[in-house]
Amino acid sequence: MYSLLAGIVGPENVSREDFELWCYSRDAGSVFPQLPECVVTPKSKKQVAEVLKVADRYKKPVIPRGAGSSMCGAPVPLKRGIVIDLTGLKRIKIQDEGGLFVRAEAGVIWTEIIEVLKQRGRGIGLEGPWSAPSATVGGSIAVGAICMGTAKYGGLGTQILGLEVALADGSIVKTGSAANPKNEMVMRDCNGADLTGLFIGSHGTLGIITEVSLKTYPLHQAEAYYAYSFESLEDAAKAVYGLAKDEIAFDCRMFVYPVPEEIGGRAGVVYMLKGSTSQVQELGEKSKKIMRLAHGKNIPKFGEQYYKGRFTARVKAFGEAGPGWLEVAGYIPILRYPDIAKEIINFWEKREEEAKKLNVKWSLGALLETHSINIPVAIFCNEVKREAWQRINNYWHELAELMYEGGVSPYWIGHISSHIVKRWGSYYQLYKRIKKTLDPDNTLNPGML
Amino acid sequence: MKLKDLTEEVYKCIRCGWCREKVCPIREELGFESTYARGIVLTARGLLEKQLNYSTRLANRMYLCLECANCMEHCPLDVDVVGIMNAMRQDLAKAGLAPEIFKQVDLYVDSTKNPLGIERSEMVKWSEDFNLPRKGKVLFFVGCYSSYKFPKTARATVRILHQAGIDVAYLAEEEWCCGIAQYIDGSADLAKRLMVHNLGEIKNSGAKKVVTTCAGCYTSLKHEYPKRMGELPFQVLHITELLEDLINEGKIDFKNKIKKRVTYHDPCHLGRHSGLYDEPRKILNHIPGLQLVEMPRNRENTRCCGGELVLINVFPELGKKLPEIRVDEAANLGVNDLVTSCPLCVSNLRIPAKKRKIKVYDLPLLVAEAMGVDGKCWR
Repeated sequence: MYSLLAGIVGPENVSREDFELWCYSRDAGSVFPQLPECVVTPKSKKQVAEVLKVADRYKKPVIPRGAGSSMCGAPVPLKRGIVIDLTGLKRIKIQDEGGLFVRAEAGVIWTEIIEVLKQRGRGIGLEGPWSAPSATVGGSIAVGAICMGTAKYGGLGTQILGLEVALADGSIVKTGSAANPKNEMVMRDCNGADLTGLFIGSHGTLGIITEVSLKTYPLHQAEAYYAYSFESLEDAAKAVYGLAKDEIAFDCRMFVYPVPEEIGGRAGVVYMLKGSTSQVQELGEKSKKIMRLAHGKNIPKFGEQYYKGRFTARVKAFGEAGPGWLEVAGYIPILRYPDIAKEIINFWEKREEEAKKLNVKWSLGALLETHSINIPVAIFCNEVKREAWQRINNYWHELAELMYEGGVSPYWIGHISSHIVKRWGSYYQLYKRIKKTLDPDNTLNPGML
Repeated sequence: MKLKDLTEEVYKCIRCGWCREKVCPIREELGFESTYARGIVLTARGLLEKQLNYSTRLANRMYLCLECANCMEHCPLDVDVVGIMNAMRQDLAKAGLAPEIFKQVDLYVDSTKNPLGIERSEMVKWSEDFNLPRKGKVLFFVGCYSSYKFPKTARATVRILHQAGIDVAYLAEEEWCCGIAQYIDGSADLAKRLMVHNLGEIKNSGAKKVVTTCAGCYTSLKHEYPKRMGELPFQVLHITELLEDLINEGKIDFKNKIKKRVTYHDPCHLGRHSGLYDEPRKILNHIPGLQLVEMPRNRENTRCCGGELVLINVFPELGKKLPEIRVDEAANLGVNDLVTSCPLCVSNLRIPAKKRKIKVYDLPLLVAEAMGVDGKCWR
C-alpha cells in the first residue's frame, strides 16, 4: 500500500515516521492523541482521488485533515489509517470578471481568500473561524465551523455555491450547478436535492471536500463596534434577539462567564456593524435603541478593542486560560439561552471545588447566528497535569450530555456527540443509510458517526 | 537550556497553526507538520512525555529548521520555538545524533576557530594595509565570514570608521568564532568555550563599544553572551546602528551620488532576532541618488535567505532553492542590486543572484563608495 501511495504523491510526500504520526495525532483541542498509520500530503485533487482508490482497495480508514486547528477532534483518527493532509491543495480561481464568486481548493486559508478578493474590491461574507489565519476552507466546511460574521450571514452553508468532493471510491463529484460539466459552481439549489448540504459539517464521513465555490460581496466601506453591559442574562438575550430580529449586526457575541472586567455586570454583549457609512450610522442608532430597551449600559471603546484584534484576542485568552482546552457547543433559540446558561453555571458551581483543585477553568458565551444562538462552553486546563487533562475530557462529555439533553443541537459529531446523535432514531438512521450508500466499507473517518 | 526546563514553554502552544501558512520556509517546501513550529513544539512535547525518542531520523528533521524566527513573529502566544529547538538539538548533539556535517563543522571550529576550517594565518590578511591596534575604545569584531570570505566588507568598514574619526581596534588572531553556529547546532560546550575566550579578549582590549558587520555575530554578542555569561562591560553595536549615529552626528559625508534602485534584504538575525529594521533603511535613504524599493516580504515578515551555512551540504535541494526564492523576489522588482547587512546572507544569496544578474553585497560597501573611501568594491 505504501509503495502505491508513494507512486501517487511521490515518496517525499508519504511518511510513517513516528514523530510525523505523533504530529498528526492532535488538533488544537485536548482530545487524547491517537496515532494514524501513515500520512500523505497530496498536491492535487487528482492525487486525493487516487489515494482514496488505494484506501478503498485495502479497506483502510482515511482521515482527512485541513489545518488541524479545530477543537472537536475531527482530524484526530479514531481508527488507525491514512491521514490525508489537504493543505497542499491551495489554488484560488476567480473566473468571472466581476469576481461574483470565488473557487478555492480545500487547503486555501481564509485570510488568503480575503486578501485576493480585496485586490478586486470584493470580500467574502464570513471571515472564517477563530483560527482564520491558519484554518482551511475545506476543513472549516467539513466541521461546519462558526465564523466571524454569522450574525449577518448565518452558518457556512449560506455562503457556499457548490462543492467538489472526492468520494470513498475515488470518484469526484461536483454539486449544484457544476454537476453539469458545461457549467460552473454558481448555484447550489438546482438539479433536485441539495447534495452540497450533505457534506457541510459531515466531518469527512461522507466524502472529502476538494474544492469550494463561495459567494462574494462588494467590500464594506464602514465598520462600527459596540459593547454593552447587562445586569441579567434575560436582558442580554433580549438585546441579542433585538439585533437578530432587525438584522442589524454583522457579528455579535455575548460574554457570560467570565465577563471581561472592562464590561462588568452579569453579562456583556459586543457587536460589529458593517456596510456603507450611512447604513452603519443608521444601524448604529437602531442598535442603541434596542440596547436601551434591554437596559444595557454602554461600554465605550471595548467593542472596537475586541473586534480590531478579534482573532488574536481569542487565541491569547485561550492560551492564558489553558493552554489545554475543549469546547462543547450547539444551537438553540435565542430566548431560551438564559435557561440553558443557568444550567451550565449550576453544573460548574457543583464542581467548583474540584475544578479549583485541578486548576480547571471554564468560559461561557454565545454567538448570534441570524436566527439562533450558539452556546460555546470552553473548558481549560494545563495538559501537563495528566489528572486535570483526564478530568476535562470527562467534563466535556458530562456537559455535552447536559446541553444536548437540554435541547441544544450540537454542531459537531465525532468524539463529543456522535453517541448523543445516535439517540435521535430516525435522523441517525437516515444519516447511517446515506453513509452506507456513499461509503459502504466505512473507510471515511470511521468512528466519527 | 535543557528541554525539561522549557516544559511550560512547550505546553504554552495551543496548536492554532498561525505559524504554518506563508510563514515557515521549510514547511512551504516539505509540507509535513513536523517541519514547522507547531510540529516542532509538539515533537518536543512527545519527547517530554516519552512518547517519542531521539533518533537519527528525528535529528535530520529537527536540523532542517533555519531558526529564522518567523514563526515566533506570527505566534500570538510568543512561544519560544527557537529556544525549544536549540534545547532539542543540544540533546541530539550530546547523543551523537546530529548530522555528520555539523560534527565536521565543530571539528573545524575546534581546530581553526572558524566554521569554514580555514587556517588561522589567513584570518588577518584583510587587515594588512591598516596596522590596527589590539586595544582601543571601539573594537571591530570582524566575524569569520568577513575575515575569510568577504575581506572587502571588513576593509570598507575600517575605512568608513577611520574617515569618521574613529580609531578602531581588533582582536586579530585572537578573535574566535562568536559561537552562534555551535549553540544553534546544539554544541553548547564548544559554544561556551568560544564565548569565554572572546569575552576575555574583548575585556583585555579595553573596549567600551564592540561593533560588528555580521548579523549572526551581533545576535550572539548582544543576546547570547549576556544570557550565558552575565552583563557585559561593553556596548554591542551592529555597524548599521553605529553608522546611523555617525550620520546623525554629521561625521559621515556622502560625497558621491549613487544612481541606483536597490532593494534591502533584512537578515533574520538582525531583524526578527534583534529588531533592527529602521537603521539600515535610514542609512540607505541618506545616500544621495539612491532609491530603495522594498520586496513584498520585508522587515518583520522578511523571508530567510536559507540561513545555516551547512544547509546546502545537508539538504542540498533546499539549500539551493531557498536563496533562489528570495532572489526571485528581488528580481521581480527589476533591481540590479540587493543590499543586506550580513555576510552569511550575502554568501547564500550570491549564488542564485549571479544567474539573475543581480549584485548582492553588504551595506558598508555601498556606504564606503558613497563616501568615496573604497571605490566600487563589490566587483
